[in-house]
Amino acid sequence: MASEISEQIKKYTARLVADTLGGRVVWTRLNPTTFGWDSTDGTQARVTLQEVEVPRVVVGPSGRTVRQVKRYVLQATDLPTRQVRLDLDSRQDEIIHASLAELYRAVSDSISQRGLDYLSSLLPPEN
Amino acid sequence: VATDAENLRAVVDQAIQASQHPYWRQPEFWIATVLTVVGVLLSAFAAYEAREAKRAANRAGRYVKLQSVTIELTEVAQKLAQIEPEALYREVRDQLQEITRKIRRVIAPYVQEANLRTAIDAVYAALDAAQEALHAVRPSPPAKEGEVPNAVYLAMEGQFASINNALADLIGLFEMKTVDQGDAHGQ
Repeated sequence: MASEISEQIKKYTARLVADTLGGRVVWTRLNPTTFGWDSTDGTQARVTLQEVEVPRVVVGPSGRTVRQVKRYVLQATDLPTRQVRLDLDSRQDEIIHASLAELYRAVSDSISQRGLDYLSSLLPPEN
Repeated sequence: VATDAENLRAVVDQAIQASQHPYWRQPEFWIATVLTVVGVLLSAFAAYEAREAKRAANRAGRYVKLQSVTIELTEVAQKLAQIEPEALYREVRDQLQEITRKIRRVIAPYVQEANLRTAIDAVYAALDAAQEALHAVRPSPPAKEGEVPNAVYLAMEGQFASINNALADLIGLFEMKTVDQGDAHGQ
């Protein structure tokens, strides 16, 4: 059952990645590690994707060390009621982690590309 | 002339008599000697006791200081566990600054102690990581903070737990030092 849900999540995030890269879903940066997208077609909702670094204790030959491990949180909030309707944490399993990591990269790349396009539009034409 | 000769004779007789009964054979000499030796011994004993009292006072001072350090760090640890899911960036920023300042002030006198160094380094590393994690959720612009549910909490929950764990290790070492100091103080 859990893997079935994971597969569904994988499918939806793949669609989101494609829509993001295709410019149909436009994200904005809300803070250095969080992106948001407001869906206004039909249901008014806000989807946010956050990258979180979590300290993990690793025991190795040189003793005990703390490493920062990345995890991703995808949330969808129904705007009229301000209710969080989806709260997805990549800690749940590997498939979700890989899907959300891919989505985060796609969103980050699309925002960087928009910034670069804007910079390009500011530059004087090349002679 | 006869009188001078008699006087001289008397002096010589006294000298001969004195040489036959030296001062060290007289009880006064031994009484004075014993009293002097006892006086010296008492002075040495008093100096030793004073030095021991000073050491005991220093040990008591260190014991009290270690206890207050342990109590202060325990208070900080309790505060770290109080982060709320709805916490705002500026609230957590202020809380982290206060906690960092307090921890650094309390453990600064012990950073050179070899048996505490690893635990203290771990606390400093956890504080630095928490600062980085907080910087990563600084709202831009600030008005958008409310648009991300629990963003600061999600970013800081693990970092605060990490500081707490490092602090717990350090508190354990301080408690052990307190016990050692207490034993020494008791003796």
